[in-house]
Amino acid sequence: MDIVNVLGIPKDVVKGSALISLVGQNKVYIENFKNIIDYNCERIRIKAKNGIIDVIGSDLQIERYNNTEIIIIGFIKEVKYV
Amino acid sequence: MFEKLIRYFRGILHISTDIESFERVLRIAKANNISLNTISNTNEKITFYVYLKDYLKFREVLRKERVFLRIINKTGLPFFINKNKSRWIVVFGLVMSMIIIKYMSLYIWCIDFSGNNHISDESLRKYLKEKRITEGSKISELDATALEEDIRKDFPQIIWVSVDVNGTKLTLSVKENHQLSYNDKCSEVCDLVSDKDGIVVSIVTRRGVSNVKKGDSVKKGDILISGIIQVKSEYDELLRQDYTCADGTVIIQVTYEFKKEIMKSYNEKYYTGRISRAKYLRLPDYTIKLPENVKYGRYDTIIEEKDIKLSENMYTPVKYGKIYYKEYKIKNKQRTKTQAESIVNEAFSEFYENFNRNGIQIIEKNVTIDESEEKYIAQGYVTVTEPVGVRQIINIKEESITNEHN
Repeated sequence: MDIVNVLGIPKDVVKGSALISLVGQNKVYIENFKNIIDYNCERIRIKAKNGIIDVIGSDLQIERYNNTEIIIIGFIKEVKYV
Repeated sequence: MFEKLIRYFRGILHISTDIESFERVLRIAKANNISLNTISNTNEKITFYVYLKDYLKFREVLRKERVFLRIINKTGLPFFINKNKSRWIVVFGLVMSMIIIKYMSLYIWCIDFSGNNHISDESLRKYLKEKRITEGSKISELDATALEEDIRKDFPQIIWVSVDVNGTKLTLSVKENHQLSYNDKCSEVCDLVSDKDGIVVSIVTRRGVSNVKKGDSVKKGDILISGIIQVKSEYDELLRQDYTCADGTVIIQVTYEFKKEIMKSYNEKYYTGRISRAKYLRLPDYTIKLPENVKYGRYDTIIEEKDIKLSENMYTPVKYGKIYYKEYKIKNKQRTKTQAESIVNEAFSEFYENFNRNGIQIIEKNVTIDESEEKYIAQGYVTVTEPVGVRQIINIKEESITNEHN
């Protein structure tokens, strides 16, 4: 049995899993990422520890990018792991 | 708003880079804990904003990695200071003017009076001058409470006073007592004596013994109400004398004469319409005046002066003004009787308007105009009833001696 599950500790803290928060259809917060692989107005690909996150939409813009988080704004159609 | 302020104070750069090197830029930024803002991809160019402090750190690393950035725009206070550091004289002037303004705000530069009708602004200003409060006095040295007390003490007709300093303006607000009343707290022995000649219309005695009655003719200095009360026996022998401060209301009928002479021939002044102007700046002890060249023979001088103030109550010691020199000429004219009558009527109404004060009632008024060879002579009178009486202290010792001799 996984000790993390037993103790109920958040996986993003212990395993470094990406934490994705969507605010409506216009904003997405992503924490615990490694780097951005690809960036254009329709697609932003972000490398995380547990895979690649694909944010698809239109007029996409990175509002903030720093060591801990990325804030993406624009019209978001999909957020998926590939 | 708050974010905008932070951006302004920290200084922010708008950077552009090509798409190939952008991933390297992002990698380096993350590795060096540099924050990038508003990244947008337009026309194969990627632009973003970075704070000045981050950019300086970023630049060094990127140079080593041979990644080149192009600065589109720089905004914020650090850039403003850097751009204007060669203009030190402007900054120096700015700082100096702030120091001067701060220094000037420690002094009073305007004194304003309100609520005074009977006591003139000039007499209040003179009084303040005696107390060493003038334009240019230090605000910190002004003791408003003590000044209020002094004013109340020295001007008995002022029943309320407020000294207020707002900015560099001192406002003295007063409330006067318009009622004719005597000080009832009088502790001296005194008579009430007449200060005018006339005929007694009514007398109400509150303290003391009345010396006159309705219809009596009184002269200036006559005792109206005596402060000595003689207590006599039934055989009219003087038993004792009580002393008091005489008090009462005595109304007498007084006639005031009016006389005015108007010359038939007079010089009329008329303006030619030619005006010469000059401007000046005035400091407390010095006036800077632009050169003027007044070529008129006779002229009136009109001065318009304004205070220079930073805000409504922030007066400065500097005043500026304009001087107008209006040329006039004189023409000799003859006055008709109608014109003379109009002048007399105006002067006479001004004369009797002075009596329209509290407690004074006009009973009768009349004026006639006589004509001589050279002039018109107006003669008239105004009969009024008015309250009279001033207190005159009695020297009790002298009074006792006089009585003993009698």
